[in-house]
Amino acid sequence: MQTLVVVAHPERVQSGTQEFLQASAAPFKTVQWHELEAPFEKEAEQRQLLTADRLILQFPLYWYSAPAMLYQWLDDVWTEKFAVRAGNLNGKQLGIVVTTGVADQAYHAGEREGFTLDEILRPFQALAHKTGMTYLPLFPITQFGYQTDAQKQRLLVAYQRYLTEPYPRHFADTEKWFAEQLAQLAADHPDYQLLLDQFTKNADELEQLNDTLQMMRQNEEND
Amino acid sequence: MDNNYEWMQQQIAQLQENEPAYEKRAFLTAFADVVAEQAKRQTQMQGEIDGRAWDHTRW
Repeated sequence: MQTLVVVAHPERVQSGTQEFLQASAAPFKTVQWHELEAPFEKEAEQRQLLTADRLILQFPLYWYSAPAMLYQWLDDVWTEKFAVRAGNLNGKQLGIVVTTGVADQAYHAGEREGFTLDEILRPFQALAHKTGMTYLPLFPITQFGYQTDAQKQRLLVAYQRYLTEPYPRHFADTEKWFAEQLAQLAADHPDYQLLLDQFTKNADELEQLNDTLQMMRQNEEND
Repeated sequence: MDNNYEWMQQQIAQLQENEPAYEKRAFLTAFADVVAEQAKRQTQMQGEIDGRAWDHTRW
């Protein structure tokens, strides 16, 4: 699966968050990083879109919306003919990584912002709907600067998984994702191999337990 | 909890202590969470299997 991350950040150079995310994505060969810069070459941008199975739009939240440069790109590149009539985006996935300086809990009815991020970013869901794309759950990053080191470490891996893990997500896919990363680490560190072996064994056991449970539930229903 | 889960968490903590690369330490933090989730699911499923097998209304 190929992933294209389209970054729309008017002050990209000063953004520590984007820097962190770019470094997190870097080890994955299947992830392409694309920072928007006007003017846009329509055909080249469209060709790049065609290569992706999963498209990520990544931007800071500006007045409950994306920065103007993202809309400029959409206007110039996502023509009606390309995106709708030719069905070029049909079957692809659309994910949104949105960064905001406001705390998570403010985005709820009755809280300070009054609306959820799902509601605020609804136009992107409509865009996915219109173009036949599968809309992924949002990936919000709130108050990056205030996060602890442990939170940032978890964010790094959660972001990598958002870019590369199959959707819809099942725990078995998550186990497989971690096993793949472990296998790479094991190449130059035998201790990782021991962990990988035990992890895989546990995953198999869980699968067997799950099968047993399904069978028991089935039998009880049939009684 | 199964002993192997405890062993894994110890291994992870040890690797993390000696790991200079930030990205690998981050991976190990997230991996520890997944191993904990495995252990939780194992306990829950085993519990449900035992519970169903010992359901006295079905004796």
